[in-house]
Amino acid sequence: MGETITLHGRPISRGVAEGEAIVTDKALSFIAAAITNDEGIVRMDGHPLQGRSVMGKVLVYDTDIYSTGAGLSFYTKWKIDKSTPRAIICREMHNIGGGFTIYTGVPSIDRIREGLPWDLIGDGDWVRVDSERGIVEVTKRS
Amino acid sequence: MRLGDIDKRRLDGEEGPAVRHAMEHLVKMGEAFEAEEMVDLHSCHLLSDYRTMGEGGLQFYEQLVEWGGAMLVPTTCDPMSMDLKNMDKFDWPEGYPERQTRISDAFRELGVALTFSCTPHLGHNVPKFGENLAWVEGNATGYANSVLGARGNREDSITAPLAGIAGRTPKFGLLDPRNRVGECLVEIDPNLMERLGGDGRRCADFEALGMIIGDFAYDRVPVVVGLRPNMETEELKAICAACSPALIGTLMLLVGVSPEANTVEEAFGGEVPRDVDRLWVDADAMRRAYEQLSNTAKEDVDVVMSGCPFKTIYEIQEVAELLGDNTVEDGVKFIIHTDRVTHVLAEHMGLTDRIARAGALLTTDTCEYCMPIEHMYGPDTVIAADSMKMRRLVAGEGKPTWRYGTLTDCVNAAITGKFRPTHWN
Repeated sequence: MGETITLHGRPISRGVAEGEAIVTDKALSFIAAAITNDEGIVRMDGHPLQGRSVMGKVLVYDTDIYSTGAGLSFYTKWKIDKSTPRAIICREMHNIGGGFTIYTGVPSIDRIREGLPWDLIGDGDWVRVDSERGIVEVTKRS
Repeated sequence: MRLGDIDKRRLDGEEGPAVRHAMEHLVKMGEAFEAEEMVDLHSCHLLSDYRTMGEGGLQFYEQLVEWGGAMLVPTTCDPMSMDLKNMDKFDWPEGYPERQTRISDAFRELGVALTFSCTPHLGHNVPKFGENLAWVEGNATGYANSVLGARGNREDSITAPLAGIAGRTPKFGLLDPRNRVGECLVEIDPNLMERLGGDGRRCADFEALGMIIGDFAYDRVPVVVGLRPNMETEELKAICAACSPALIGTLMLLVGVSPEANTVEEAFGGEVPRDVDRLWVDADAMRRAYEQLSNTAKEDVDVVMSGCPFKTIYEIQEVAELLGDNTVEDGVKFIIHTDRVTHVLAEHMGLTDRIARAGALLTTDTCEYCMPIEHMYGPDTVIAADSMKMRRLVAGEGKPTWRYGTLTDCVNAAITGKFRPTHWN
């Protein structure tokens, strides 16, 4: 195990979850056309995460772009396909991401005080999000 | 967040389980986004298409019906996944018609006007200045904020119906006038402005301009100077299409157009900050935008589409006139999108027949974004379009490739089977 750092942010959807990080500094959309419902695979043209799955991960991204349909697409991913991330960390949470994480209870947090989340969390780090307390614990991949 | 007596009653379940369920979500939203109070909602617009919402979305709406939910404010709905007037013209996946019909059934129970349009602001849901909206559909919310002065965030498709059922919504983001102030400045070269738009070019030019503005502003409120006085409705519709495929928010302060931007100083809340981030938009920027929106150089096209956002009746007239007595090339599909109300008008005016005689199709209530496009078109399909919004939302791994151009260039591509750009190339 590598070193562990503790970050602080604004709780959006309250809860606790942990998992392996998948990280981008770009915006994302959870519409079915952009992230598949069945496997959570990113299909956005030219996106750094294109072809990778966010299912079961702690997902770090900028904010929500594209269609407002993302809310109900995310709900289907959560209720039917079980393909959502375990937790979400955004630089700035859009009310779209706020809406779908609050409704489904997937923990989410934004406005990390210590800096930009993609500068502090790397792909493959183990991340525990405690959005009850507004805390993110990051164990760096050794 | 302060709750009024009405909020507390609804939260306590005095008005039924659907209202209580909605209020519980809205209170959590308000607390997360640091709203100070709940306010009355005036208008709602919901997601309709099965392709986007999937089975979970269908169950979500049916659960609201089971709990006795009903919209407390005027509510319209976005396009669906199918064209029920032209079922035989497309290859729909098994089970789609039944599921899409169940969504319509749920909407009837909830009291939603079945408009199936992405342009409610031009039809049956026209908000007034200062009204609070819970609308899905970024282009519509963008127009409502930027042109009409109504107040709406780019609402997510879960929260919008819940706000409509509660009749209340937390006041944060663009619902709060303190956030309706410019944060960056876009200046349009007068020489460029003179060359933008006109017959056959409105949609492509102004959607590309919207993309340039939106990509620069991203999650800030842009103040835009240099637009013509008396901008046409269709031009403004096209600029506001940038709200979601480019601009994260849904407010552009268009100086001389937006009611909150009579002057550039007013748009910035008093004076223009000396160090404001600026973008100068000239003909080179427009050329780059057109180039960026094509991801193939292939001339041969399989499909030509227009109508994102949906075409107005005047734009449908324009298509019919551009087609003239020509016919669409064998093997090419030319599809034009509008809603059912405008389609009825087009039928009465003989436009639907003129377009059909040319071998093109005026659809109702759907578009390539809402339709199950991966099922219909493979990655080798080349689509020519005059819509930046459609191009960006539908692009991606496993999806068709695109040529971007004006309506005139698209109509010529439909007639000849060859896309040969004549504008900004």
